[in-house]
Amino acid sequence: MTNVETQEMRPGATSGGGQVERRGGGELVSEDGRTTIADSVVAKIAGVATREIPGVHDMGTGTSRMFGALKEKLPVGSDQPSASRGVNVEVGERQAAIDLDVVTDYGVSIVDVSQAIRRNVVQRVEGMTGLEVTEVNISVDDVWLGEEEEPRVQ
Amino acid sequence: MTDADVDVDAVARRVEACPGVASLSAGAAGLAVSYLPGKRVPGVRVTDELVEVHVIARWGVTVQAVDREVRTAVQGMTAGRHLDVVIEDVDVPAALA
Repeated sequence: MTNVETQEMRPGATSGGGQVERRGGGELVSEDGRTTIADSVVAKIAGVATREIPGVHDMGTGTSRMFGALKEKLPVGSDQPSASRGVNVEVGERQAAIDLDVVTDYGVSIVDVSQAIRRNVVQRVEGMTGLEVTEVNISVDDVWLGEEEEPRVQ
Repeated sequence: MTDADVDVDAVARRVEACPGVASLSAGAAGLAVSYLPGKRVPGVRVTDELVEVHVIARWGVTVQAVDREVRTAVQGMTAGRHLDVVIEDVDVPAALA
């Protein structure tokens, strides 16, 4: 994954430790070494934070939802739905950008739910990782109409 | 990031405690809802400019009285936003219905 460019990055401002090219004032990059957070960690936190919001039915695009459902039926591997399905992240040293694919329930305000998702994702990711979340892009791929997916005829 | 400074739960508790309020209501379309992590709070909705409180009034209490009670109850909790009080319905006792 590519790094998210941060404005405060000063390529020339290295002090000791020749390999460290970019040093920031964030807590993750200290004088004693650096803490690296894998993309999958951020993705998992963001996925769980999104699912915490009522009105979110599922996550992932159509194909990934289909494969996810198949994978859960396989005898091997985890039977848990992947927490990071529908999440794409770009993680830099101190910042992260997050893309989410969600399916909302029918009858909820997509605007309000998106705002709630954004707020919770930012709060959880920033709180648990210390990364600054620069953006949370939400794409609503589908609306869940209930078990019978056929539209009712009046 | 809009209602981080409005405690939706606290607003809901205060409003429900009002004597003229039978309950909070999400409204006919069910859209007057706050989506908090793990739960929905019906009847309270926060936007950038305002806090909406949707209630079902108790039978026999005037709308003005309910409005006054709600406004007093949530005073100072709206983080500088306007407060809209919406009376969604009246709770008619079973004996009269």
